Amino acid sequence: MNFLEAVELNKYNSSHEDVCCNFFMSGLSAPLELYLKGYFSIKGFNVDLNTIPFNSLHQNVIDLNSNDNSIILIFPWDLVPEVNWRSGFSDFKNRDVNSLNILLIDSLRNINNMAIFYIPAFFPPIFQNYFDNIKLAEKLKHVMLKLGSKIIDSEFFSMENYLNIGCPIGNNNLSKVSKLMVDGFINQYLFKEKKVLVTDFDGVLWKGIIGDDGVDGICYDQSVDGYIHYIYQTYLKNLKDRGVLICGVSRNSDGIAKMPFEQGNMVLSTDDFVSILASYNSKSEQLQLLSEKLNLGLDSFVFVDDSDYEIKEVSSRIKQTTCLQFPKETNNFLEFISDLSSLFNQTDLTEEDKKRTELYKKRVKNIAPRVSSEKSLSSFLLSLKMKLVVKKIVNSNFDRAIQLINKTNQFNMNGVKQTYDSVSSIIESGGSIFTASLYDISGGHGEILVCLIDNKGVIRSFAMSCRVFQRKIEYVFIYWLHKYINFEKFNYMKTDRNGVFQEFINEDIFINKNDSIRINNKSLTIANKKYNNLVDLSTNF
Amino acid sequence: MKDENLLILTKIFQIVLNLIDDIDVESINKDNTRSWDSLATVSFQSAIQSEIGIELDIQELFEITSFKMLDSLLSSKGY
Repeated sequence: MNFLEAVELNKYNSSHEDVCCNFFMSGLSAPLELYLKGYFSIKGFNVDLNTIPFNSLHQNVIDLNSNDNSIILIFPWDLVPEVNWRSGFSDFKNRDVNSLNILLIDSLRNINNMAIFYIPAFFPPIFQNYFDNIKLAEKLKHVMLKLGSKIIDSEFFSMENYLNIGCPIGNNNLSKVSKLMVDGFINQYLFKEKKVLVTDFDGVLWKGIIGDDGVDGICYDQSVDGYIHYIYQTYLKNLKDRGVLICGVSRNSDGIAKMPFEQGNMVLSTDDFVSILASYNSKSEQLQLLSEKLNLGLDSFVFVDDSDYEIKEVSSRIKQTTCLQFPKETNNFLEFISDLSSLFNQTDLTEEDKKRTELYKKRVKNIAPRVSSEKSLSSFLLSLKMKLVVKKIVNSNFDRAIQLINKTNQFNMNGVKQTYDSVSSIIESGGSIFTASLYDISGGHGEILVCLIDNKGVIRSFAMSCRVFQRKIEYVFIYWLHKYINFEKFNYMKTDRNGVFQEFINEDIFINKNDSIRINNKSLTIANKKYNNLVDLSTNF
Repeated sequence: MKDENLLILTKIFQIVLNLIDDIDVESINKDNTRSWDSLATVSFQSAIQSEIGIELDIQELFEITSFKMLDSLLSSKGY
């Protein structure tokens, strides 16, 4: 979250819920306040944030009403004042780790609606013995963990900021730390106990995209590529046995989404799911459908997906649902599992918990995915500020274009594989090849679309990455192609896997004339009028 | 400084110092603006780093007393 974005989010929103919350830390809290309020706003709350003066943490914790909503950020020197950088090294002859008095703990134990965060920042090594300093660091961390605090990475501590202005968080981490604290607090105290986990499939249950890679191309075992997906599946199995309802929402056809389960060698089976909704409609609509059928509030849902787009779509439309992004890197998996497990906190396990999946399956039997509402999808797509840049490939740089044609199956006009030689031959005899790159508020998504046209105006290949389905980009691109580039018809062919393209080609912007697919000019113009404000198309040639 | 960058800097200035929209920022200086205190300087540092991506030394910023000086400082850093 940038500064100006945070300022905008700080404005009062009448559709938000009003909430009061204390934010206590010993250092200067002012730089964090803007971002804390911004993240509360994203979660659907106007927060009245009560902060305290510099260096008054202890007194305010003692005076705190035990039922007030509170976020408390602790550093080692809050627990052991002798290790405060701002005080320098104190005289520590003949002292040992056990003789130190750790403050605050008793006061913190008495507070209820409190989320404590501890940053185990490096502190002055006050003991002569190096290992005593390590012992103290571990002791403080252990004490804070016992208190139920969440640990925030010590890399967020900024010595420069702490000494210069009294704020121990670096300027480049104000937003990140604020987000961690607000998410942690809201998930724990303002949202209900979580009962449902809705998971994506591609890139989450397995590495890869089933529609494009096939069952042999995806990975979910205890191998380098599949390990975090394997562990994730075992965790979901664990949750299901504890009574959490597991649902699947996947951008695939039903048959393709369930193909990996049919192999019989995954940790999870379709029986572990209360419901699997596979379609190309918006995921937020599917969550709402599940909420209605299960008769459970959306604030009891957790949504897991690897895609920025899907996370944004769901979190912008359903503020009460907690959304977690499945990590792309193994190194981030620990934090992800830690965040996820903190949402499903359970003390006792009953017999009813163990049978819950079977009980709820009856409520959702035979439900079909809900079709997306155009109005709400358009409003979300508009907020993405998408830009499509079309490029004509010259100088034989066909590698990415060929990869896109050959690897993409779902939105692929005919599934015909191309080689460097076949593409070169088409280009040399007067054909053209175009690719399009997509940019939005999340950043650049690379080349996501390719179109190969021969010298007779026949579109020989047309493919688009499944990552950008439902963004209406294909309509805007086809309109541009029809307006500026000479082509006659589409060399379309139905395949086992191009179901998404089959739906597209059956729309009224196309007509089947003399066994060849051509453009319906009038319908295309109407479609373009509907969608061209969603995507800003420009050319780079 | 490019026009669009000047616009961002002006916006930061207005927000941090709580100025009304149509005020001429060129006329603002530390002496004639009560809201330009040390906390405002701290806010400038984090806002500039967040929006513009330039890390300014806080001591450098404490010496800035007008919009023009801030503009010059950022221009000297390539903004």
